[in-house]
Amino acid sequence: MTDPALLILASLADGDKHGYAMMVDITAFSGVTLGPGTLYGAITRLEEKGWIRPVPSQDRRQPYKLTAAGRRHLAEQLDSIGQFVATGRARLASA
Amino acid sequence: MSGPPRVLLHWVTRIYPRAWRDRYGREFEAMLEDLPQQGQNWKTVWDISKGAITMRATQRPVKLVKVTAIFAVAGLIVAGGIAFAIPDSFVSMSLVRADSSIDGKVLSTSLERTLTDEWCSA
Repeated sequence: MTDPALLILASLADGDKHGYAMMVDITAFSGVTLGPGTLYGAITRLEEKGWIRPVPSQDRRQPYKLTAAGRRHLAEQLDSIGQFVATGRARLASA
Repeated sequence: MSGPPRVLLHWVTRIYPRAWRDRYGREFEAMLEDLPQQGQNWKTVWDISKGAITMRATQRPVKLVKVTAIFAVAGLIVAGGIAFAIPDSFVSMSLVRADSSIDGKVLSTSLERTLTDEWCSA
């Protein structure tokens, strides 16, 4: 799983984070390292879609949080991936 | 091979559209400052450049003239880099021909050689 948008949504699912914290968290749970350009390209798109929003902060480091719509989208995507994984494993087992 | 200077990471950020920099520039710069030393490499420079060019190419409304200009400049930079990387070379060719003739009639072409000299810069 290397889709930056999905990785960011999964990262924010357990709490608000700023860009660098997302980068570190994503590397830790997925093994994927997102570059700054890739990360912020995805953040821009996710905010435009209303799936994440910035949290008021005094710091230059801007934390983001998952919106309700973002949480629903993440759940749908994970269901879809789960179904794919289950089907793949079943076919491998029966082959 | 040493990495790029830190200032280069901030310089390529200026490729992003002005509106994007107004909205995200401050936090993006803060994130770049958080990157550890090993994260400040040419791969990161390329990632930021690619993100910025993609942002420009997909911004609404699409500013075709600007996008074309950006790719033209990028192409010139790549072409210039390749041109300077290829060593200079000089090639000269000369044709030597000797004919034997009697009373202006050519009896045979006894020698025809093309001499080629190639000189390449180090």
